[in-house]
Amino acid sequence: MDVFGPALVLGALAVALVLCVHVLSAAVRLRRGPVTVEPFLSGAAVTEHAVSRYHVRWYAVTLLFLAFDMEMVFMYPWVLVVADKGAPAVVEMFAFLAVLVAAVVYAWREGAFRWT
Amino acid sequence: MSGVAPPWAVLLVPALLIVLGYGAAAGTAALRARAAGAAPVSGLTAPARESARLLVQRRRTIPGTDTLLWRLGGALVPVAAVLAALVIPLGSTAVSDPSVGVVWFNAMEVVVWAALWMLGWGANSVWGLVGGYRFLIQGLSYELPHMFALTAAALGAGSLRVGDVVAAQEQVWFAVLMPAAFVVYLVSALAMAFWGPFGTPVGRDLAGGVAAELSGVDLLVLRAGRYVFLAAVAAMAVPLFLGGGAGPLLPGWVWTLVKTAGVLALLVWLGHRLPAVRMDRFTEVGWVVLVPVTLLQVLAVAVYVLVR
Amino acid sequence: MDLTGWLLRRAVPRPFVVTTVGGTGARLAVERIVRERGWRRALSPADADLLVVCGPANADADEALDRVWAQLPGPRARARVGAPEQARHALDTARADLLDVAAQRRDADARDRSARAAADPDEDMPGGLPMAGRGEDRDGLTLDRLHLSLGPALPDWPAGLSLRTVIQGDVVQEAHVSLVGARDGAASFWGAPDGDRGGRSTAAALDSAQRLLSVAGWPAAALSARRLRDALLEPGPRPGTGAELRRWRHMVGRSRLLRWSLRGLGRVGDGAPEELRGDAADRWARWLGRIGTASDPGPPGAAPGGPDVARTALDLLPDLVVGQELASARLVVASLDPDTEAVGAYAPEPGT
Repeated sequence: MDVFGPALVLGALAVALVLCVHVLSAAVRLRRGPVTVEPFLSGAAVTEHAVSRYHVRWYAVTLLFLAFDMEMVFMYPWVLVVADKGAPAVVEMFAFLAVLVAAVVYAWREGAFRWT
Repeated sequence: MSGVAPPWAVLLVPALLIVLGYGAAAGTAALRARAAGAAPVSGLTAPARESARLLVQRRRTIPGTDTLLWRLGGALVPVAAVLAALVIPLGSTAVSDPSVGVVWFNAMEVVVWAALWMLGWGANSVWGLVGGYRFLIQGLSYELPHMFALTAAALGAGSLRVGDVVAAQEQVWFAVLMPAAFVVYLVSALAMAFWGPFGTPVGRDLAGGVAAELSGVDLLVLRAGRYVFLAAVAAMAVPLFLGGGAGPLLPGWVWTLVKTAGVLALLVWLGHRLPAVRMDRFTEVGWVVLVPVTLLQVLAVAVYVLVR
Repeated sequence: MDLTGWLLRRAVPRPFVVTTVGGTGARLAVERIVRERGWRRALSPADADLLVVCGPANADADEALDRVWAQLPGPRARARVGAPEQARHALDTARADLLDVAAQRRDADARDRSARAAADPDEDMPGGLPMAGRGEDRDGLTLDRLHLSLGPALPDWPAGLSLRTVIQGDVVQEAHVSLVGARDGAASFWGAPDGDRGGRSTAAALDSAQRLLSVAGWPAAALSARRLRDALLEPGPRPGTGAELRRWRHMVGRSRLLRWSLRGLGRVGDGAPEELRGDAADRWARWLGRIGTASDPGPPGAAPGGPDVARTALDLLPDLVVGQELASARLVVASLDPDTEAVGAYAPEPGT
């Protein structure tokens, strides 16, 4: 607990600081309760709720990112053993990365990074 | 190398971050004042005056908001910033120096992705919705080069412990040894703090984006949190690339602060001098240029580690 | 001790500045005072405590402005600046209103009372609003559609312009242009005869440039452009302005990042008036050229485009923004920067 104990203390401290700002504001602001308003639409009347299924046109990038993000799970431990294991560790990791980069190049040629 | 900090050092982390964050805000205001043709000195009090305005202002709510997400999102930004700073050593001692310090920083910094999306989605406003998703694609574009830059530094030290990364720079700073990783880290620092050229998630063209419907103390916490976050990522550049507290004459903790202030000043100046980057154009650069560049950097460092 | 009042007096106000047709002169006066006092313009009503309306009143614009007024969180004050010379007094009065804590508290209570009275406990959806409906997008997918109005009450936006869009994700699928409060016979501020050395033509280009820079996310360069614009519009000698103008032009002209953001946006064919041709980067370069020639002591630059150019720009606008992201759409509008005051009453041609 000596390592992550301070993290808990620090987290509690940060939350307490944010709460302090809120309490201070509640004490001095014009009226404590929030004012209910329409969302801003440049002066036009609101006609529907904005929460909706958003058209994420870059979804292909998210898939590619997931592949690399899983790769980071290997790469962080890998940095600890490179000096011990020597050249084979480097070769194996970069062979794996080369496969992923090939996917990036393919996705690039297919236009995954341009969606407008 | 890394000693154990006394218990009161926990208090020092948020205090220093707030001072540095205030400095960044005041510096920004001073640069603005100069551009407006006024005396830059007026920038010194500008953040305090702005805070006074937001403290007094009422909060708003919109019918149909997801209140939990909306109110939590803004508060997450400063909390994530303070938690990320847990592993940053001041001089030679950090509050905590876990064996996975670099990964801890990485994990805390990614919390902001969730925070901004929650803000944008929770507001039930078109501006927020677009801004929140803008930050997600921004994250998808900067995060991989950023993680490879972190990896390069950790690889140079053969450890994920921040204290070891500092110790490994006794001979030569990693900023010199791996310049590409350092530059990419600075770019991603701007991007993760949605600051300057990467500020489009809260951009003027979206009437404030994820912050478009925030007012009063909620807006204050978000804006202050962003500066604190900027200070935290600037501070992390010091142990990763600039030799931590190493330096002549002065004690280590002074050097850490001087170097942090230097990096922070550079980030603030870049924010002043550059127009916004459109994410639909930057994504391609991030993946096709920055990812290969940082990977080659990691390869170069790996070869260096083997022949050393 | 009244901490609320003490804090309020120390706060720097943040005005939400809206321009109606015919209000350009008033806007310039307001922006100048705002800049000189070290105030900053708000991005949205939520961020603001002053609503500053520049220009004459008209019923359609007032409806939008009342709605925006109801969105200010409070403390709040409202100022109407009909003519440039009223700007200082109107802003002073509004600032004084802002500092009257008792009146601000009464206003807050009145709003809360009317909100309680209007609340309907039986409504099944919050705010009595439906969810977004669906429609086909350009690729034949059925997606949620949101209605987003750009203008008339939007910062860094042409006076009175209303662009009603239907968006899916952040892509504009439909767009309809109209002018709020425009009437025939209104005089354009920039089209007025230029007595003094072509300063007004340069100032017009700087005004367009500062708006584009704001939308393109470069507030510092936009601020400098506003300062130079105000200096050029001042009667009498203006020592040092030429050198500063050259420095500014050098700084923004060198920015590859900006040109990269603008390239390929809003391409207009050769059939259009010369001022509009090319993409956003071309139009930006043309403004810089106009500013550049004027910073040297030479012949006055050409007057900015007249009513025909502005009208063509409005006609072209819907086709240029459909299929674009919101960010691009805003850059396209800013790069065309139609002088809505020159157009007079505007009705889009049927079919657009």
